[in-house]
Amino acid sequence: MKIVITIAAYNEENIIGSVLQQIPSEYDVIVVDDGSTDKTREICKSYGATVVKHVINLGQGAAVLTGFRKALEGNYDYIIEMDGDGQHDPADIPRFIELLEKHPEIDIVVGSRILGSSYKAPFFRRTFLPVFTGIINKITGYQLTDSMSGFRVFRANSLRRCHSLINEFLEPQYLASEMFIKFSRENLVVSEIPIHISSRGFGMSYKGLVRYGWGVTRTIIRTIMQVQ
Amino acid sequence: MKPITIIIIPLIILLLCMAAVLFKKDRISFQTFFVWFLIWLATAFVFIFPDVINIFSDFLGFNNRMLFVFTVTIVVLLVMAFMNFAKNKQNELTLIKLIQHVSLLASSLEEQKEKDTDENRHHHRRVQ
Repeated sequence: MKIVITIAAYNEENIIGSVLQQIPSEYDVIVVDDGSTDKTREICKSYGATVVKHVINLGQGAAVLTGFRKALEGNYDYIIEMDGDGQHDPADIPRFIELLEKHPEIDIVVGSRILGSSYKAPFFRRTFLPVFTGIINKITGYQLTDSMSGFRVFRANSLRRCHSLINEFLEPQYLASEMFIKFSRENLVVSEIPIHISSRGFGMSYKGLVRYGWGVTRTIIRTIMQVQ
Repeated sequence: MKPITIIIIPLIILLLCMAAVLFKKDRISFQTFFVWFLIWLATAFVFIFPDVINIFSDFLGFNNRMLFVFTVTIVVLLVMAFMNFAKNKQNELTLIKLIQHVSLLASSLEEQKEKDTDENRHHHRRVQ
């Protein structure tokens, strides 16, 4: 079984090393350096990760998609998407894989911060996350609790099946909403498991919450218009 | 001929020449050149024959000639701003796709280079 982890990173030199250190050696790692101006690329290289570097900052969504495209070039069974800021615990990965192995009908497993008990989100995020997730559920028919989680595992063949979709994604920043709406149109099956979240170690959040809310709303509206 | 006409006409000729040069150098498409050619020609026409505005403003129901000119100008500018915005967004998306493609290509080349270097090292060791 071949597994690859894709990490989108932007100026994460302080934390990316410890993230990569925690990842077991049996997993291949692709880091998409989204136009960092610090030593993110060099640090990732020193840990043996494959690094794809964007010459300028395109946004997290675009970086994640580049990671998927790179991963799909390889002969992997599962593609894992993780954040580069140390929030996600690689120790959770076997539970994702176990679920996918047990249930061949599942295409994507999302790590839910809501199902996991240790997540203490800021007030606005705690309030708006269920709202946006509810909207996504209404549109897609999925029953998610955390549609914005950046810890997801994809069956590589399912992504290969939607390869054209991956190339047609429009939203360079707020990918999750667009992804779920489009995947639901392809009848991909999504499931969730609880994950452990640690507070952001050294990195800071680059998205203001208002901007985030507006970006997600805009993405939902645009994707609905596009898929109709 | 009014002084403003004497000032404007050479300017419009200059702009017409600039549009022609840009088209000749393949910096703009024929459609873009044609649209700008018509715009500058119409502007020149209005400055040479200002009374022509009366015909249009009366036809469209404007009581005031200036109001007609301002309205047309604002509408044209808004249309152009929107077209520019749309084109800009399209370019942005193309740029994102291009950067992703180039990044993936560069990464593959780098991997190949590293692989070749490793193979060379093995080969040298065997020879030694």
